[in-house]
Amino acid sequence: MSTDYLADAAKGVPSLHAVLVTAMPDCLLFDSWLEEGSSWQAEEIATYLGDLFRANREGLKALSSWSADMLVTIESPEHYILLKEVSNDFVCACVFGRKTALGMARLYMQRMLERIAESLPVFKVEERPRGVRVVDFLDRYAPDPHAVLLRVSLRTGVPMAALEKPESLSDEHVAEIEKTAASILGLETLNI
Amino acid sequence: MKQMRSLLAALPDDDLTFLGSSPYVYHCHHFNLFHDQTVDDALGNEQAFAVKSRAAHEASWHLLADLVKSADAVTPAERLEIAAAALPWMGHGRLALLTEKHGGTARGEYLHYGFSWQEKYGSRVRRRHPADAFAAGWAAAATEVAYDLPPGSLRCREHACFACREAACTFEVEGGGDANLDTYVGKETFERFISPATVGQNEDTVRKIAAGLKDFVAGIESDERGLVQGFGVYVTRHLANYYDQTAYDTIHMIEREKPRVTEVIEELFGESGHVCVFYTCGGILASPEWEALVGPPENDPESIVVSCTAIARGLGFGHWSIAEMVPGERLVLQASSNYEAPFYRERYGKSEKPRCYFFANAARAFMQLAHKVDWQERPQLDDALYQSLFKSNLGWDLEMTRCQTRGDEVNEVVVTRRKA
Amino acid sequence: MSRPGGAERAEAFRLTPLVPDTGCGRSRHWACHIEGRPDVATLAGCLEANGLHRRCDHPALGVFRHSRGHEIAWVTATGRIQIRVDIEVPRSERPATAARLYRSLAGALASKQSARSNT
Repeated sequence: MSTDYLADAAKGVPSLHAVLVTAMPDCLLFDSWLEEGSSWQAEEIATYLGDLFRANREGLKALSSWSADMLVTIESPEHYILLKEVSNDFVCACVFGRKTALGMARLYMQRMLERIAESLPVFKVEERPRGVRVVDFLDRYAPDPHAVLLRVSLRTGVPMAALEKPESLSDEHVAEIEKTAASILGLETLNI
Repeated sequence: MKQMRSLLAALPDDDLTFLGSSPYVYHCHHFNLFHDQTVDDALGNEQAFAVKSRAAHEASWHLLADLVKSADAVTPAERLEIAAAALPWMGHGRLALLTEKHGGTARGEYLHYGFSWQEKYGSRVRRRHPADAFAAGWAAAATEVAYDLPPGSLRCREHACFACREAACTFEVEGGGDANLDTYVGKETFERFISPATVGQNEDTVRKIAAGLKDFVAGIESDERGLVQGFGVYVTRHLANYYDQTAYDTIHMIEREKPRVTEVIEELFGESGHVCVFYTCGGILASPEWEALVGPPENDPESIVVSCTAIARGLGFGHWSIAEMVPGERLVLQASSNYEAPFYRERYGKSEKPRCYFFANAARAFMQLAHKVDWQERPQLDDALYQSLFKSNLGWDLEMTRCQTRGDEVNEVVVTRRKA
Repeated sequence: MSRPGGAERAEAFRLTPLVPDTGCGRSRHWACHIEGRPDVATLAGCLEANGLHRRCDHPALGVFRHSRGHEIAWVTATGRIQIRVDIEVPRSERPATAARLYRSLAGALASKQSARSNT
């Protein structure tokens, strides 16, 4: 997935490897641009980086030091990864090679964001039933996603037919599958 | 290991392999982890560990008894040493047994389940329960055999596990075991329940490839860590009774206690057939070893199904044969012998319904690999491809039309293209 | 190769660039080809000089094992090479490890060629 406005924004920016726009709060990929020949999985990266941004935001809020202008910078051995909120609904991640100075990467990103923001829609993310969000979370993070609903069914006794319609699950079943999902992932609770 | 090699036996026409009288097969860690995970999901971690370690104990005890007998090992120290050397040969890692007559401890490194779980899932999931039930059962059985204790008198628990991000795996062997060594499924049992080898389509080709594979895998040695790598895939020479007992005991418990999810557990144990075919058969087909021994795989469904059938035989799954193959439409796969049915018949009697879950679903996976994978492009056999092939759009229905667990002459599965 | 001469023979043993290969372990398998067909003894000599030992003696296949668990598999008929990084190498370091093995193989082949060209 790569649309013209992202390719236009990325054009000529040195050492830029990827631009990913993640829809919040669901952390689903909205749009992406990857340099030619890239083998990265945009959906996967966008999801993880979206989660990372959300966790960072919640952490800063807990410290009473959050601001919408916050820029998250990750320095890996090969890349600078910069994350910034474009609007309430979107977070943008830019991945630069380390040939570019960090200050320049931030500058390039700021310029790109101005162009990208103009093209992003304004919408309210639909508040989805909790059962749907639990199933989506599992689909995204659980190992062996092809079998995860079967595993949940086996553990909880909730029939597959019901799990395949998570929007109609009873509160009792939602609580049960949420507990099971956390257990499958080795988590105390699900952050959804 | 010389003693293990001396125990190698086979029913060659039936494509079954044995260590002493214990049936063994080759399975990779993807299959092994998925299989154990299904037991965990069904029973909960604690009960699952008990069921798995008991099955391991029962399967291992006879092998260990055969082993010390053939080596004429008399003292406990000799016997424990033999047990410790056998596990790496099977690709299960290393286990130092520090046990005495009434129990003791054991310490594992590179144990197959914990180590491979960490490699496959460790970066995505935090595991909180130990993974090495097989090694636990092995430790209990080895101690009993070493000290001539009553079979089944000990049990073993894993207190720390590499899969839980601990440095090594530690075990405690103690009294209070409940393994039942009264019924044993060995070579003689197989001879009673299998049928004369069937002759399928492309029989000469299947037989020739399978023979080459058997020779090749028999020559593979484990490394110093006790890991066995063949065709670029980490595999175990595993005791088939372990798979059978854990699967069937678990399914029976679900049938009794949570019958409404019986189909779910059957589907999950069937899924492990998909996992095996994708990773093991697929890995073998794409490997340099296969290219050298057989030639690069072609985008020809019939040739892929022939190859997969030969691989199944080569890995000791039994005498699988192609009764009918219509590319794009239908596969009828038969097995006059496999490792599932004899165990079931001996331990549980005749079944009312077909129960060769692994065999049946492997046949479906053959068709998926044969029709949906571009072999000439040398595909990445990774999670993404697996999801795309097996998560949805699995375009094949299957029916187990005959099954030796039900008393039929052969096992037979019919795979047909799913109607839109 | 039909053209005689050391330089041409050196060309003939060149490795194609290293690319990810098929396999179930993440970033463990890497592929290249040997252009030309060195005989078994030549390649085995190169690899053994680099600390690998042959663990498969099949005439159609060489599998060489490194002391740290890495493997190099070579299909003699087609020149396919598969470099297998050991499972204990962290995922992030596997590409670099494969590249090191590749460079040492290329270097060994080149030095072998150079030695042969000079004789």
